[in-house]
Amino acid sequence: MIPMALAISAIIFFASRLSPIDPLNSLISPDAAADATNLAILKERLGFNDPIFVQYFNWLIEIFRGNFGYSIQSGQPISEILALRMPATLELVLAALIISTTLSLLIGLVAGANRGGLTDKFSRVLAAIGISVPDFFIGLALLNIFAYRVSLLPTGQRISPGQVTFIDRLPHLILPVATLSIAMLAVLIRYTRNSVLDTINRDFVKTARSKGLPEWKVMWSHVFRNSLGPVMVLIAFRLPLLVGGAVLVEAVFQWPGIGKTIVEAVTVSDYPVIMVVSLLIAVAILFASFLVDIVKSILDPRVRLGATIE
Amino acid sequence: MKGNLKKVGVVIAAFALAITSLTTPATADATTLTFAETQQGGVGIKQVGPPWFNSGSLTQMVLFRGLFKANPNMTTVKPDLASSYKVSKDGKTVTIKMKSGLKWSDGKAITVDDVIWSINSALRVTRINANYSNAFKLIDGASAVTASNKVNMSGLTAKGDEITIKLGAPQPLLIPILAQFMILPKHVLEDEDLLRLDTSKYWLNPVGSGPFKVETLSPDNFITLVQNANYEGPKAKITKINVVASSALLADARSGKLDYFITQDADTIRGMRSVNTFKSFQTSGAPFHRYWVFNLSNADNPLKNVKAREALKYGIDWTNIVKAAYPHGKVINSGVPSGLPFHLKSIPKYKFNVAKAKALLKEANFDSSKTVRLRHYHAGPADLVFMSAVAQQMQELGMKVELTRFVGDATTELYTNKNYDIALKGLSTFDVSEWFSEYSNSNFDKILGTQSKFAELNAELATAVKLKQRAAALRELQELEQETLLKLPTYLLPAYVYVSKRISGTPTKYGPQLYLYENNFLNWVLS
Repeated sequence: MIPMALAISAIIFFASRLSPIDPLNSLISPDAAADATNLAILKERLGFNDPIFVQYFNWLIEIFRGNFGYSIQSGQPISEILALRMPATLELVLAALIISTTLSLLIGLVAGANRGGLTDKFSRVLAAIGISVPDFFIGLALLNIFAYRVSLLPTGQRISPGQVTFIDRLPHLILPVATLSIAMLAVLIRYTRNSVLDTINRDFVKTARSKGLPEWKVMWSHVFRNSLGPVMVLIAFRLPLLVGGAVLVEAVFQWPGIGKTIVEAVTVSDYPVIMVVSLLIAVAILFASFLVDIVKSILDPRVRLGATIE
Repeated sequence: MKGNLKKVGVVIAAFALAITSLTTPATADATTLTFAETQQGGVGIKQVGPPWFNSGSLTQMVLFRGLFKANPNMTTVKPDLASSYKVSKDGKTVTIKMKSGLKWSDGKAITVDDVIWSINSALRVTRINANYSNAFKLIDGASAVTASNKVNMSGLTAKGDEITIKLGAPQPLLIPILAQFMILPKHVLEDEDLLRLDTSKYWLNPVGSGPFKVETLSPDNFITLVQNANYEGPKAKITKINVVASSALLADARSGKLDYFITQDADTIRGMRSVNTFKSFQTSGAPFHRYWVFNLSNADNPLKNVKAREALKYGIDWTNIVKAAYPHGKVINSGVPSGLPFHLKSIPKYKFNVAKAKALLKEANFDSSKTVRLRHYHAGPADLVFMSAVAQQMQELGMKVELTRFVGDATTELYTNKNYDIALKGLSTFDVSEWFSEYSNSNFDKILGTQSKFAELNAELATAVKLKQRAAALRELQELEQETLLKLPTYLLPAYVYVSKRISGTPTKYGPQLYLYENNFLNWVLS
């Protein structure tokens, strides 16, 4: 995992520096007729004139020391930006993860157990919509209806003037969470349903039934528990969202989280922020896949970490 | 089945009720004004915008003050932090007397030291509007001030409550520029790293001199401003201001979530025509030019011949294209647009005439096998419509055109990379002299080559004290501009101010978007 993270850090750094955008010049619009005399001094001070390999190693050393550097756009330490925006992303993604996971497991399990039934039909329609319609479109549609036309919910942001408590600002959370949940729900429902259908036809289920176990016990102890393994893997792969945020959904709802930070940083070529956030997301993905391996090994005795095939 | 449906219905109804009770429909508060700050790139509100780079927002108008205050037309100024001023007969000495008893919002006294610190510091920061730095560089001893020393300019001194500014040559724009330049508190900022002043924590809760101060700043969300008890003037009728970032001005205005905003966006301006709860005003004063610049440093530029550049003036239907892309745009044929003082009426109107354009191209021996690289950096939908239409008409003139947006940042692309033949550029000028000064500045030298005649005339314009001298310099500059066609002025893009009809006492004239001016805010009343 560590060599992989180092390789990713090098790719992120050099790819950012290969861009034709000068991070300091990009802050000064020619429309404003700015005087750029002191830019050169600042460039020198920020180390932009050092050889690129020196810049890379300096950056990496500082990252290991826990100093993520400063945003060119706002001048804020990046650790402060992350501290400010991470809770917003956690709030949004956790809420969406909990809602979508709970609902999709429920719907998926019931749909799988009652194949061809009303819930199954409903789940298939919902999954088809969720998979085929992009989340930003769902977001825009919800925004258009509930915020612009009906004026029932806010058009964006996480908080409005005068709102103090979590309950006060809950209306801000409803539309982005709903959008993200619909998008997450679709895949998970389908996956859970298929997993149940797959398990239900296994020999051990037939054996359980033939032993005369009540149907609810067969479903609960044998079908559901065994179906959840692959589903858990899918959920684990969503954990990096907690760090990276949902870029498009955050952008649509002006939600001040990590996803929006990425969009803003890219817009103004704020390299230090782009690099740190990208690195964090990459590390989160690596960690998630590591976690998936562990979960798999726990759920499936045939998979063992570090085992060799003879 | 029926029972289940009933249960589902009850759950849905309860959920809807819960949402309705949580939501707060837009209500108009009789003492709180809500206005939107439009930020570049959709970036949310992170801090109060430093007024030394881009100014003109309502937040800056109510938080900070300068020595003087301009009228909305930018033609006259009246004292603000200053009580009076005097310019010597030779125009080289300006004496400014400060008002006494003024206080910053933290209760400390506003003194001449703050003014002297602010003007010197303006030459030490990284992001500064060239209007200020260009003007202050003309003060005696300004060249000694650098970002790495603490030397102050010798031509800026104070005695008691009087400030004296000594200039090498008369500078007629100094007072209007001082009316835009906001004085900042020395006691709060003197230990800051001035190279990074615009990103200081100071902007999260700035100590100011205006009638309002920051109460709450929720980064990325909003700013709440309340009355500054230390402001010496009359209290505003509005007691609280909410500054919000809006990504959908039109929708927010329609739903009553905003009271005031300013925009240049063509779609919003079109849409606001049907919103009858708002009054709209076109901004006046300093123009915002959009124009073409030619990269003549490229030996292969197919438009090196001035006749070929003139062909573009005739061969493109500017009137209809501008009208289609920007409903509020105005086609111009000079750096001093018609309607402004000193506009030269003898300049051709360049009526759309394809035959004439083709004849001019023939006269210029235009090489139609070469590709004209057309670039732009403004990326709004209207800008894309405009550039595509222009490129189409250039092709109809027999030109090969490659139209793309700049890949890198505009400053590097325009003056360092220079991979273009024509670029669309914008410039928000305080005075038309700034438009002409581009011809002889160090950046334009890189693409146009040294323009000594322009430099000579610009020097004459900068020191023209009498109207007659100014008129003569501007006439010659406009004639030279038409002769050389190094920049093609294409259109002006005014902004529109939208004010909710629930506000009374608002002015009937609003100044330009990026400038500070008297807007009578203290007398605005909300209903």
